[in-house]
Amino acid sequence: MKKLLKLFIYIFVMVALIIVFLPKVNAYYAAEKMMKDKQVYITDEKVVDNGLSLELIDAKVYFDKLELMKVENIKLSPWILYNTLELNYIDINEGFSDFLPQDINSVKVEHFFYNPLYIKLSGDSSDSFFNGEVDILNRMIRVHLNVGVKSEKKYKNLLKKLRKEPEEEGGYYYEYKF
Amino acid sequence: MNINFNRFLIIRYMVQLLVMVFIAKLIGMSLWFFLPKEGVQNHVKTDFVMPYMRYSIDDFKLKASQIKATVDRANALSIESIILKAIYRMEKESFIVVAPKNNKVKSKTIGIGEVFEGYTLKKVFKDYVVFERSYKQYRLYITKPKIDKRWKNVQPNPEPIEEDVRRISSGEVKQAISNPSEIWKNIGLKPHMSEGKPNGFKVSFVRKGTVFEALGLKVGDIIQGVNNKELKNNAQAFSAYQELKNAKALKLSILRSKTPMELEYEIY
Repeated sequence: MKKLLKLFIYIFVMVALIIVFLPKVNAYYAAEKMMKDKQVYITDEKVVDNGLSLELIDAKVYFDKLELMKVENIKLSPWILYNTLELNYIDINEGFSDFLPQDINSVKVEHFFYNPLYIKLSGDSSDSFFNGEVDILNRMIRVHLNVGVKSEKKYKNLLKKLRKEPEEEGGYYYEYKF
Repeated sequence: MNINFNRFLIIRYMVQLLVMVFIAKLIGMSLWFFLPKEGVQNHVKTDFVMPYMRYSIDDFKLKASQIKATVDRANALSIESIILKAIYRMEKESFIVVAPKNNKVKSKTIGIGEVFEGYTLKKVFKDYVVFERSYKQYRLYITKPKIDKRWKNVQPNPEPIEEDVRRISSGEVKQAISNPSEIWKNIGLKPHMSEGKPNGFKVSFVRKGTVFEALGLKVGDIIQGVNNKELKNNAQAFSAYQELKNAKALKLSILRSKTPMELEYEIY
């Protein structure tokens, strides 16, 4: 038992040291190159390596030449056993006001080592929230939306395209196979 | 003795930690060696489009004599120095045959982007071409062949290219684009691919009585540009949709039956 505990401590320290010495900024540049192939660009950001995580401050996200959003803070924590990507204070391009709420407070993407084939999604805006998951094996995304009264009125045409959850659960859901 | 033993343990753990730090650093450095050293920058070009203005010659109140006086005949570079002999238009490439007016035999075939007598060929239309020189555009119409009167009835009646500026109310445009989900009930647009690359949006249906019908769009048209900007992917389509909200004019560059056309509208 003592040996097992010792081994666990060794693994934990080793993982922490690898995370600290991981060239996170360069890994982010590699991710940027991959996103470029999909015409997604992150610009004007200040990249900060915090040791255990990587932060992008005041980033603008573009699709081709179209500005999609400004994000005050993007935090990437590659902790190998538990990886997260957090987007805080998202200001969506006004042009999307017909489709999306303008003030999304946060979006969180999580990946747990004990459930490697699933990615957990969650987020909230001023009066709505969503949670969902990406099923990597079946290549499917399912997002559950709980929409506030104000947003329900504003995006009624868009919500018509989503499916309603059973009454006891309430809200809407969106499914997409990729 | 006990103190010495504890010291030995501390030194042992310190060495172990240093070894782990060394290994972790080594892993980090090897990864750094393979990873890119610079990020990607998206240079967003702001395409400048001249605001749409429509003038009437009456606004200037100039008399013919005044206009004549302003022409510097000695330095005037006129497109009249070139004659356009033939136009070959295809979907992907177009060529024209031109010759200097003073030496009609010295013909040359040029494509878009090529230069002849200092004029760069920019666009090729059915019966004229557009050259550019010193940021000014010049139209050169095809030289009409001398028709033998015996054959005049055999000449086909050329189909006119829709180039006249049509007028459309801003209210109609705003109503049409205010509700994005309604747009798709009135017009069907599908991404059109050419050699595996996006090449515009193909009109699959146009609902009668809608603004899209008034725009003159027909089933099968491939919309490739809006207001001098390319329209080949969803981002460009969304960008065009945004700009339409405050546009004073609309110019659609389309491909109809493999023939490039431009539909122009004034939004009043």
